[in-house]
Amino acid sequence: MYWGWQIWVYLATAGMAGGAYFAGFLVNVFTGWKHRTFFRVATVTAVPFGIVGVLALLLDINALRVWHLFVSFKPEAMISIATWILTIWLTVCFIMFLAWLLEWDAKNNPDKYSYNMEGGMSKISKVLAWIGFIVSIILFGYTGVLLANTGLPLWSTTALLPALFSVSAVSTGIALLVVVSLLITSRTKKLSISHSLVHRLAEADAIVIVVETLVLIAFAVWLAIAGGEAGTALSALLTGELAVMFWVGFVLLALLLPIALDLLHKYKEMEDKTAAWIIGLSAASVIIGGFFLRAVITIGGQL
Amino acid sequence: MSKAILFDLTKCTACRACQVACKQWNEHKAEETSNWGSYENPKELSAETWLRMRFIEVERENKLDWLFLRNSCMHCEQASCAVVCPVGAIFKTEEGFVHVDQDWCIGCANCVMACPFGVIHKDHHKMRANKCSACTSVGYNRLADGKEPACVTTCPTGALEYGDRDELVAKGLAVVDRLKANGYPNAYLYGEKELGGLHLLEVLDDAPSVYGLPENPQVATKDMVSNWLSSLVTAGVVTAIPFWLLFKRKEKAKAESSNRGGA
Repeated sequence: MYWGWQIWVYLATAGMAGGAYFAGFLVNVFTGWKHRTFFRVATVTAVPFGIVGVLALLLDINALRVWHLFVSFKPEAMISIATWILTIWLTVCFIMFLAWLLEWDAKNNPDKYSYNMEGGMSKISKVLAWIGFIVSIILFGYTGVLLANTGLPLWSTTALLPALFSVSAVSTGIALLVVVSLLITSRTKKLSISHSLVHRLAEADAIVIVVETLVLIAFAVWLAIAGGEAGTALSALLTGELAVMFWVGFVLLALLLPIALDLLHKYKEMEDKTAAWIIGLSAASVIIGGFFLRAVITIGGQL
Repeated sequence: MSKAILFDLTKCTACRACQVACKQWNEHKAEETSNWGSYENPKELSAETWLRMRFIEVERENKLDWLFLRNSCMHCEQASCAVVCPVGAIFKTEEGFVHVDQDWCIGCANCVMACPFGVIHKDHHKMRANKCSACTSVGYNRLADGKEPACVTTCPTGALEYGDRDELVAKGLAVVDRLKANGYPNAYLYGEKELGGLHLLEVLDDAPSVYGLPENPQVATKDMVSNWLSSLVTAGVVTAIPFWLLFKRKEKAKAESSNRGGA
């Protein structure tokens, strides 16, 4: 086994980081930039997860030679793509933070700047947000392609593995934002994250989870039809040594339990506090299940 | 000039002198192994074992045949390991052999996952990948001195030959024809066409699958476009729909209803 926990932790956190940014951006842009605060919360939440992923990856390679990655660019090599995408994304987010700080400073001290600093920074951060959005799609989109561009049957037999990882990245990204939003709203009212926003996010995640379930079924059917080594690899997941991890860790925690809890929340009258617990539990379950998906696929491919 | 190594199983006695020569020339340590019911030893290749002989038992016409096969890097013309290497540490020598630059490898192991033959391995202590270099490793380069690879030089029966690839292909095909004429209709020269032509050619007396070799090996990035499409369409379009439904449309509906209310 050459790709161990460092790789699946990396795949999960990088996916979740990209997914959270993606979700935060879409909420903001689809509401006509009314949820800028929420988008900022999403970005501030996503970036540390991206950094955790990079640190996990560094533990798996010769860290002293990391600079070799920065003196070459190979578009057909996924780790080269990852290097540059992560670098661009983290840089864009960092510059965006600076733009927000300047905008905030200009808003509070309007006489400090002779020109319209607030408006200028607002425009710049908008452009950066768009760039970050495009890059975030490649960031979480590439994780499945990394595994698919190999010679191992579980990973390379069907192009649906990248799709499965992408859907899971968005699902876990939304779940992360739900958990963070609930923690914020339970402690402060200063940041304008409404209950309705959190509930709609949870609803969006439920739809994404249904899509994820369908992609998973198609992925499994494809491998079963392909048979041979791909079929054997699938059996290890469904009935073999990884079965508990697959069924309980991934299927139950990432798919079935969250859908059940979301249905309970949607169709049963309950107090706000209970609803928050139900939504929070569902989201936490999705996040843990996302780690299990990466683990089960990363390990299963190398058996 | 494109070079190659030809393995002719009709001459091989599986004495494993090639295995020992490989270890000795490259100064690789012996690995502790245990009996697992086969003469194959070690059981697998590793970053310190670049060549091993395979012993395959096959039942043919109610009698047991014992087949031998060289197991090492196949030195593909279209080498997946080189394609996926993010830093360009894996490259082809002028002879056509695939070489891992030990001073440049970062140990990401992407090449290990991409190799269709499972021959490249990562050394966890040195944090870099390694495999048969056809004796072109820095400090151990026999070809630069006009010598043959150590395994070829040491082979006592001439089952291993080193030379111009075109000549060895012709030689291998002649052996295959002889085998076919002598009751081995499935005899095959593995490496003539696979992956753009391998620089390790293997004369087989049966189909590749009998020897556990992939019938139609593919470059790891062959489905790159469909993999990206699947990923990006799902990511950028499918997962964006719920947001459009729940935020864009609801926001619009809310605005419309408040407009009506105002009027």
